[in-house]
Amino acid sequence: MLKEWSLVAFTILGQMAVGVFWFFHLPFLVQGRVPSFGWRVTWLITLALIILLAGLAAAVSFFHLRHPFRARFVLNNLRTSWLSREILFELAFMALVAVSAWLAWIRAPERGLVWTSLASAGLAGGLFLVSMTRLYMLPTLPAWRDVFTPLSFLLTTLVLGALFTDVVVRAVAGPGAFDLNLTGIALILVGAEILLAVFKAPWHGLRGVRPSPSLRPAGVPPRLLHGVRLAGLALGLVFIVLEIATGGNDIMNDPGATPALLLAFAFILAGEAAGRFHFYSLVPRPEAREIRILS
Amino acid sequence: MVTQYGFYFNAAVCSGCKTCQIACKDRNNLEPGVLWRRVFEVAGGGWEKQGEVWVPSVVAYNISMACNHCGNPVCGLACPVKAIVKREDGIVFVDTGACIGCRYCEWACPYTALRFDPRTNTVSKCDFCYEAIDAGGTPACVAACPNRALDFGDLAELRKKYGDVRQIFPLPDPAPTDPALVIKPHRDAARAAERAAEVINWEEV
Repeated sequence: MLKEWSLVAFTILGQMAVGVFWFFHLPFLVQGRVPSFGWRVTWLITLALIILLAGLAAAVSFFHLRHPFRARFVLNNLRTSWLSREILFELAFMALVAVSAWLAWIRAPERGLVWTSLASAGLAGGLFLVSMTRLYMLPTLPAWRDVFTPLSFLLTTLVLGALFTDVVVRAVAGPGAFDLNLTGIALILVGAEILLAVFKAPWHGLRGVRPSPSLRPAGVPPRLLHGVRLAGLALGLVFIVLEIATGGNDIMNDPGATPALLLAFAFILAGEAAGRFHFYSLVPRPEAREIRILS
Repeated sequence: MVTQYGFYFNAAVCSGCKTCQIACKDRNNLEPGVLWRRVFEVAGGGWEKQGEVWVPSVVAYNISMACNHCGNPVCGLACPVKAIVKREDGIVFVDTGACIGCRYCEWACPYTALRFDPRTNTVSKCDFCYEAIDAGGTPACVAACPNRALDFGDLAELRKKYGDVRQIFPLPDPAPTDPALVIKPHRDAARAAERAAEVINWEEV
């Protein structure tokens, strides 16, 4: 059940990195400006954390390769392989975020250059997500070729992106600094993700996909994983509500993330991980069997 | 020149003896647990009321299945390092020297033909005994079948000789992969889905 841990970590960390990038830059994009001098430290820290998250994702992905040193050839099949494209766009995303961080560091005066870099990184992140989704939606994999796959990947991106950005911005710049109510947005997104899991989670959802004839043994994910996902998301939702109801640290306006927000993030992250293990359990890869020779 | 080799499988005469499986393992010196050709035992059914009498209504047959050397090999299309190659004669084989062991092709192949080989830490699969073919010989499974349930050759010739059925229950939809396979169905195959038949030897295959 847990053997796909590296893919679980890769997808969740990668999606979170893209989500943080999108949410941090969204208010600036809407207002048509780049982060001002007052935002420089928060901006640099956020971009550094995004690179760290995406780098960690790339690093753990090596653990599911049996010949990691041959991974340098992984871009060989961009013409037909979504796996090659996924890696290409992840590398492009990381590189473009690094360029954006460098431009922020040197306080590049040309807004056009900064915007080009940010827009390219955002687009590369989007293409990274699309490749990651298409990778699993092969016509030969009916269990994953369902609307649940793109929706769950997108919601993971947005939920973790909103919450992580909220934590970073509150911790570094203070709770009232950001023009976007990320806690409120996270509340709505977590609610949507719970509904998606209840109704559409394959096998255990109320309206999940049905198995079709196959030479693959039916993957029956443990019901426990579905339960842990729902419990994690629900507890996260409770702590988000608590954060909003108590006003968090908005009143004092001191930089720092409240325990309620941190607990919400931790529970939701646990729920996302359980959900992703559930996802991979739908199409199990056969174990390499070991035959013990009796002497 | 052959442009697409294929297998023919006669489900009507296959007794499920698994000689093909063993011949394949023997020829290719496969590790315990690694099977390039597998025999799926399909069974199902129950009791049916005919008038006042309950009679057994069961289905049972076998399917011998290896890589189908598909016209559209989704395993190779999905492989990020082009380690799965299709020859000019249609034979699809794994270049174990290039495989990175991501095992993504195992997910992509609906026939579950690709098997992880712990000896090489790569995936492996039926290579149509291409060395024997190149020398004018026969794939080990075809040569070993005592009931002559297996045959091989140019896919166009096989279709002329045996027809063009390539899916019986519970084989997946052939449309995405275009398998180089011709099947003579067992008489029970048409009723298998409605009798809720299943593969009953997952532990073995």
